[in-house]
Amino acid sequence: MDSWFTLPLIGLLMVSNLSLLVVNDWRRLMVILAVQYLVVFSLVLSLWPLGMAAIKLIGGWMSLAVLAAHPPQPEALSANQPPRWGTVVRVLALGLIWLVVFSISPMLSDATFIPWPMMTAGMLLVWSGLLQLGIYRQPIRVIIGLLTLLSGFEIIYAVVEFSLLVAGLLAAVNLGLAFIGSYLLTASEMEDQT
Amino acid sequence: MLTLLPALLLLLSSVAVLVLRRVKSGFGIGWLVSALTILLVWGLVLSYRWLIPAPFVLDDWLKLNGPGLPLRFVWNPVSWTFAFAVISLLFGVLWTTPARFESQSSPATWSANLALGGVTLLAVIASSPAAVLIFWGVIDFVELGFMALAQNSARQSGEIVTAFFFRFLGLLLAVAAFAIGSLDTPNLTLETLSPRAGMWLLGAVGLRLGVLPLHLPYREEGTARRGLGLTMRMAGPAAALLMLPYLPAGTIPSGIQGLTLALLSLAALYGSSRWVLAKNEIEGRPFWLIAAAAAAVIAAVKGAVTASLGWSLILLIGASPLFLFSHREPLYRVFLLPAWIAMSGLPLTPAGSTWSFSLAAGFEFADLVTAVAHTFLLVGFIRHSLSEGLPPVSFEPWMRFTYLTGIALVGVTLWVDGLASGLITGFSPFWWAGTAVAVLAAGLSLAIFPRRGQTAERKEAPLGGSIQTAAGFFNQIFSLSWVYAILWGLYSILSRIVLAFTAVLEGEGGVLWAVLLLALLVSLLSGGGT
Amino acid sequence: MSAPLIWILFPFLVSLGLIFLRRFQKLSYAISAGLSFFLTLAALMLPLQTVFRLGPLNLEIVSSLSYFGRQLSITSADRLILVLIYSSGGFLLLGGWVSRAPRLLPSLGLMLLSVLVAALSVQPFLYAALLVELAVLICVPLLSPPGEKPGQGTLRFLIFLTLGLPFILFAGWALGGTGLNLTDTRQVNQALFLLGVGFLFWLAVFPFYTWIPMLSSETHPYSAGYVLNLLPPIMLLLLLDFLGSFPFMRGLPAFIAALRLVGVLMVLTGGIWAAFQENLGRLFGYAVIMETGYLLLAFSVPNAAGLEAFSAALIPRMVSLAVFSLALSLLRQARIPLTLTGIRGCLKTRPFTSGALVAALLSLVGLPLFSVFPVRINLIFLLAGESIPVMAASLAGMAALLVTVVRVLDSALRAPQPQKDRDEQLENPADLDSAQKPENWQEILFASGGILILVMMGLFPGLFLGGLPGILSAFPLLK
Repeated sequence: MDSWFTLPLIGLLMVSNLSLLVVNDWRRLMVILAVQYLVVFSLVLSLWPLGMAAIKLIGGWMSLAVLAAHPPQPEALSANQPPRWGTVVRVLALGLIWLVVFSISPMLSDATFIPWPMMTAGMLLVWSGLLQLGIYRQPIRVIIGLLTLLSGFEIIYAVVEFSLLVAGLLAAVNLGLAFIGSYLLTASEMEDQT
Repeated sequence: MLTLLPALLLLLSSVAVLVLRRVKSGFGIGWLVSALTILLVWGLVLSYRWLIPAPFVLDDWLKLNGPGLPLRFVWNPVSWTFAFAVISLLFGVLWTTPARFESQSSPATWSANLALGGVTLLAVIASSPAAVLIFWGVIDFVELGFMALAQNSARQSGEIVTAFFFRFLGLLLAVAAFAIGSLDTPNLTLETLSPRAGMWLLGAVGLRLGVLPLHLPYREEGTARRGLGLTMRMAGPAAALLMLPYLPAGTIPSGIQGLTLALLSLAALYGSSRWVLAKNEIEGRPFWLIAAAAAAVIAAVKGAVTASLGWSLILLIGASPLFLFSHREPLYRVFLLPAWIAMSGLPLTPAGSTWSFSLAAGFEFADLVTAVAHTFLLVGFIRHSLSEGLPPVSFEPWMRFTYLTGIALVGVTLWVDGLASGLITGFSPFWWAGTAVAVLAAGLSLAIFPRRGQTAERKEAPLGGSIQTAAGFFNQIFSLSWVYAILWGLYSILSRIVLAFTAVLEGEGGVLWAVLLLALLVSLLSGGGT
Repeated sequence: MSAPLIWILFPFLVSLGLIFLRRFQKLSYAISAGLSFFLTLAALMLPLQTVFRLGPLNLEIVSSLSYFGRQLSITSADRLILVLIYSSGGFLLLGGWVSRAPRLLPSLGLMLLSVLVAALSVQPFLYAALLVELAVLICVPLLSPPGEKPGQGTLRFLIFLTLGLPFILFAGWALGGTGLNLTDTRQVNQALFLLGVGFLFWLAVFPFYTWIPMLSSETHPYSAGYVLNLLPPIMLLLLLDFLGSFPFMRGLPAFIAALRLVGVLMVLTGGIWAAFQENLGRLFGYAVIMETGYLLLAFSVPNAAGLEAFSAALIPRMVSLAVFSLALSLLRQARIPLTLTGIRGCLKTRPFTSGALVAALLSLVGLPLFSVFPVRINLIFLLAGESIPVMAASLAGMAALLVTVVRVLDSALRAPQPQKDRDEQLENPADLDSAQKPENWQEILFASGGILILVMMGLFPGLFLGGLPGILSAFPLLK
């Protein structure tokens, strides 16, 4: 795989990682995630035919559409820490994670025969997702974290698995997570049924 | 099936009494069924001394491959000795029941007595690990159920659950003992216990009896203390003490034998002193159990298996006539004599032989302490038997007959059991030990207890002064409240640590902490793998 | 007609229909529990791969259903697994009715059963991971029903179980996709690592079990009970299914050591943590953790007896946990706070419910007379043969849980709380009426029925558990 093509994409993923942690506006978050799915699609396109790779893009964007159908209240997005220090800490943590990712990716790539760019891109998303899961307690943030993490995994997995059915089912999992996220956003407002 | 017949008869009659209670409103028929059943079962058990039924084995109880865990019930000399003691005790309880018709007795308690008797009988003839554990558990739960129904204060509920905690802990220790034993002996039974298993089993028995480490069972409160209360109180110890004669030699490693004996001696001394100073025999009963159980375990630790059997019998039936002795007249006290003499330690008595067997296994300092404890037990027996009871004014002749028969039979049982089990074998070179105890106990009793016509002040004086003060000091130490305070302190510290750890793992960043712990676990495992 | 159609697709479609019937609770429960029992009976009686007559018709139930080149396959060897899943599901759904569980339980509960059966029967294995994820997603509305704010436990549940998905998919690829070279220890170790981590997440093994006590204290006890009762054993059956294709793995010392380590950690930490809990919901969670630990320890015994011990432990575990969650639900229904202080005096005021609670706890400790005892003692004996320290740790876990039982018992035995204190703990003054009402006949029936089943299984284990090792016939290569 040509690194001239992948390096800017990895850079874009780093920007999306950072943005997901500092942005608290719902629409902007959706845009960042949409761009992130586009990057994932571009990376997978280098391995898969267009038709199959498009599943990632369409599946991801459909998930975002499901999530976007019920915009959450602003307080359902912000982290628990005071804004300024919280952001600094999160960015520092992300920096540490990037350090870890860039240092272990070559080793993992050697051990698993997965190309370095795909491994790095995947790990960036996986760890960024994990960081979000570790920091945030709001349901919608958890769903975004899981979607990010799964995107990272799908990049790496695309190298080893070329099944259309698996790709479709993974897209369904993304969609399912989005539905659950949407449900969790609105569940408390639904009629008490117990 | 003959093996289980006595127990099944008791269980069936228990149901029958309850049914009769529903059908007929009168007391009489229910009691008659109980009394006749126990007479029949008593005879049946007695006959098993000579007509030993074949073992009853349920091999495929669990129906799994592996250790097997059959249920096995056996009549052998040891189980017969205990079974006869249990049945005689139950005989005494049920036949003295008419005396308590007006107060604590009802068809429900007779039925419970019969059921508990049946279960205890199964517990003492159980000889495989699974059977032993199940019937220990059944006895515990039955007792727990009754205590839960009878308890009426927060303090008592605390005492009940603490007592059962130790008993269940003993049960878990017994599971460990049997599991270890099964490594040494496939198809493990009580007869084939290895020393390695024996050590843990002894610990389990100690925990269940409350002597190792010493812990106080709940006090005697609630109803039915003389009838059902006695059966309940003796069921657990009977099932636990049964293990002692099966323990192989060398059970306790010599390294820890001294410490074990020292702790047991303290328990024996404490229990016996509290027994002698107790307000009455019912309040003193837990201490009687502790003292006699400690003596039995001391003998087992020394390797004097027969002596431990002797002490076990003394525990179960030695003072039981006194525990049933609710209605008193001077002449009635004669019926307590067989029991006291049997326990006295004189030559050719069960206790005398117990001393002979104990000393034949070697002399330890603990024997000296046991002798003092034994003396206190005998003195206490006399003291409590001399106190006043309820007047038998409403006794009809048949009631007097059954009451006194019940008490006498329990007293005589110690002799019968002693002779049948081979405990009483004749004169031994150590006859002096038991005799010394008997003489000392008789002398002390004569010196401190009042004779007819003495004043009330004289009655209280001997025990009022320095002995009470000294006892108070020891009570403070042995009440174990300080131990519980320390344990509670440790629990609180550990609780804070656990809750702090929980807060970290379940709080913000918990997911990342979990990932970190996973990394640690993986590195630990990969280190282990290499 | 095919078996997957009967045991997967049919209940799935019915469960979809039940979502629309959720307002008719009795009907929903009757249909879902009834269908579960019907499918249990069908699994026991209907012959597979054999032509049989049904009235004028000649029928044959084929065992597999193909889609896109993949298969859902249910053979005769899987019958007992179907019986296990649908019978436990049926009983649990029946209990849901009396425990007033969330309205979605009959529909989503049945859907969960069908999806889990699909996960067990799909070939190749890696598709099971995706079906498990679907099952996890189904559980979320069950655990966080409409009208309630989603708790952190539910979110952690979703996070940790979803995290397992990538690892299992990679393990599936490492083992199946490339054709495993057994002589390449590096490759085997990689595959083992991925599989192990995946199942660590799925089975909620230490340190990923924090969501269990959180979940069980936040959500309706019966919903939590339903999910926690079904998921861990079925995950373990999936592991068996996986290992059935690679039986050499079960004999690997590293695999056994790992199972023992995590098993011991779960039993010990679960027991010790339980000893300090005030909240009964959390206590339930720790009991679940311990039980999974014991299942793992049984699984770590590397012979047929170990597998039998594992399979035989499934039902007693399920029954004990079901009775536990039922008792908690009934107490909650009576507006009794699910804390040690809250249940003060309950043995006097609600004897059957609190009796069931105590009996379930005693059973989970592994004490005689109750359902878990026979299989637990069997396991302890097996572990003694493998490793005395592991056996001692297992017993220590039981002893630690015993501390909790004693605390619960002490609280339940004490005099009831003064009315004033109890009123203050109630969130809604209207709850006072519920708290003072005596147990109704349904509560008495279910609670006493639960106790009876626990005792019967404890006394006659051969009768109830003797056939369970038969589920191992679905994994013929495992020994």
